[in-house]
Amino acid sequence: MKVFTRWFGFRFAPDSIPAHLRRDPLAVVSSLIIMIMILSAIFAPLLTSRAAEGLGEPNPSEKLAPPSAAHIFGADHLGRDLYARVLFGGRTALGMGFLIVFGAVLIGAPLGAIAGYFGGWLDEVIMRVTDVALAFPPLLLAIAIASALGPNLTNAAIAIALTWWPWYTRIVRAQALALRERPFIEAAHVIGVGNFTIIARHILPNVLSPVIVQATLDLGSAILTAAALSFLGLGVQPPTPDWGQMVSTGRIYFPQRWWYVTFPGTAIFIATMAFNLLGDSVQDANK
Amino acid sequence: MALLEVRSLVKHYPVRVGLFSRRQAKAVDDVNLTVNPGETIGIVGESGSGKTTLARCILRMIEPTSGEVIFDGVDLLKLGQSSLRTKRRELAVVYQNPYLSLSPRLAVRDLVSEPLVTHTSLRGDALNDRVVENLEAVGLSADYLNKRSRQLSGGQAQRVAIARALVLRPKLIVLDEPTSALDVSVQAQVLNLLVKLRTELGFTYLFISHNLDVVQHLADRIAVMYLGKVVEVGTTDQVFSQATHPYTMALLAATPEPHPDRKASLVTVQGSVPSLTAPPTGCHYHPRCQWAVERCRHEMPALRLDEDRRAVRCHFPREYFQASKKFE
Repeated sequence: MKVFTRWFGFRFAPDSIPAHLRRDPLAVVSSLIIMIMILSAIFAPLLTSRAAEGLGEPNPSEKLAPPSAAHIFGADHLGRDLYARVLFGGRTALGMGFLIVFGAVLIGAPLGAIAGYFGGWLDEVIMRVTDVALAFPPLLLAIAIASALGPNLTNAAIAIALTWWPWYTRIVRAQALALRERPFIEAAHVIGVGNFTIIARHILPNVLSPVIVQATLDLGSAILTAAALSFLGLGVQPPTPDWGQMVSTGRIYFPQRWWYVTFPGTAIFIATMAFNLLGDSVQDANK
Repeated sequence: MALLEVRSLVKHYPVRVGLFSRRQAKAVDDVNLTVNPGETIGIVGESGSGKTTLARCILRMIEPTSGEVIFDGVDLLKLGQSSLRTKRRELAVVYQNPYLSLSPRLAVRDLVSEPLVTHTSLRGDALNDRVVENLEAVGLSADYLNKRSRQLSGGQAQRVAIARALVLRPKLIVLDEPTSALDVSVQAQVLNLLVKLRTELGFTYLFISHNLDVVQHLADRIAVMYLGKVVEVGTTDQVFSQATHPYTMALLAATPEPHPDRKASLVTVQGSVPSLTAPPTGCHYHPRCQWAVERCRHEMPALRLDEDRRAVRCHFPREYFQASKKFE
């Protein structure tokens, strides 16, 4: 963190946000849920005695066992404990979510800063490409890219990130356009600082707040989209635990074995909901 | 040889008037200026006189319409981007408002080291030492290294801006109203600091201000600007004790002097600054000049050069000077 601050010259979160958020009950609840999810994903092996099953080892004798004291969420078609599967699935979901959003910011933010800072034809070219990218329905584009790259976790994340970067480009461009006229940018220019150093040191750190807001909002949808891609068989492949893929397999057994889809489905719902609510609150607090 | 020579510098802005017609706003109109090494030249004028635009043209923060800016033997306006960037090492600026000109997210350490990182290969401890050394030169200490501009007072922030400007020991420092955004109590401190740095390090200043008192404190020579043109040039003593242009006289009279015997001067500026897009005919100052005659309405006076680099843009300079003396 210290190195980070020294390099880029900014602190990670704007000071004003937490104070506002503490007064917002929705924000408190949603951050608590997110915190619990993150912690349970990290410490998943400590929270279940069936870690091996969670990671994919079959247990044929317990096939499709209903919820009980031994399996509080029941068991899946290979007899694996669903509680363990959902717990480890959280790692995939959150990992994918962060990977997607991080990738989208990594592509989108520099492009937006370049477009806004330089203006002119470069701006035109970048923004027209963004418009084209935005014209495709995101899931459709992700499906196309994922099937072209081959189905696995990384490719799914890349595919979704490739459909999302334009939003960050737009946000950052608007900010960069306003920042470009600020005296401290001119001051850096007069010192002789190069254009790309100005973008990295003086523009990007100052567009961080709106990007964080958008990223928080997007995390929910990223998890949802990743689950959708897995549901369609283009995302995470078995035996890696993943909520979308669990719902996909489980739906054949519905409604007789209702637990198979219900628990992973609820997990997707809660995760998406929590990130969306937090995103909304952060957005309101930032206004 | 002069360190900086500005030759017939012009900056016109196209301004839209009405739906289809455009006019030129002559923000800087045919300005000539010489700055010698070690000298401090003050540029004075009210808002809209073009003094800041002139500075921005010299620094190529904006591209002038025409003219030459010979700095250190090279015409800055003819330099390509990369050689200009190298040349910027020799030029520095201190702006009016330090809170706006210092990047809000950067720590003092990074603000002051930025010119060094850009133009030298100093890194690590050597860089840090150089930063501290320069902070101490402006009266701050190593305690400020990790502060951000919003955590500093106006005077402290401006000191950081000055440290940032002098860290490379540039040949010319442009001071664009460096004290006008500060509290009166701090203004004097900053001015004294600038004087001290000039004595110790031999800097050349181009000092822009609307405040004659401040300029008098610092400048060796003064150029008075009005509506994009230089109307009077002289040494500080000449301008203050024997102003020859009615506008300079009015500016001097407008500065209150805390002395009970001094009566309000009879020379006043009437009306307000005319529009840059439609400047008055003849002498630009004639609508506000109490001595304007027919000739002033039709004919723009040339910048008359007297001995010892004294110049004035008025048809009847000495006569008015004497006339006003008579009234006093």
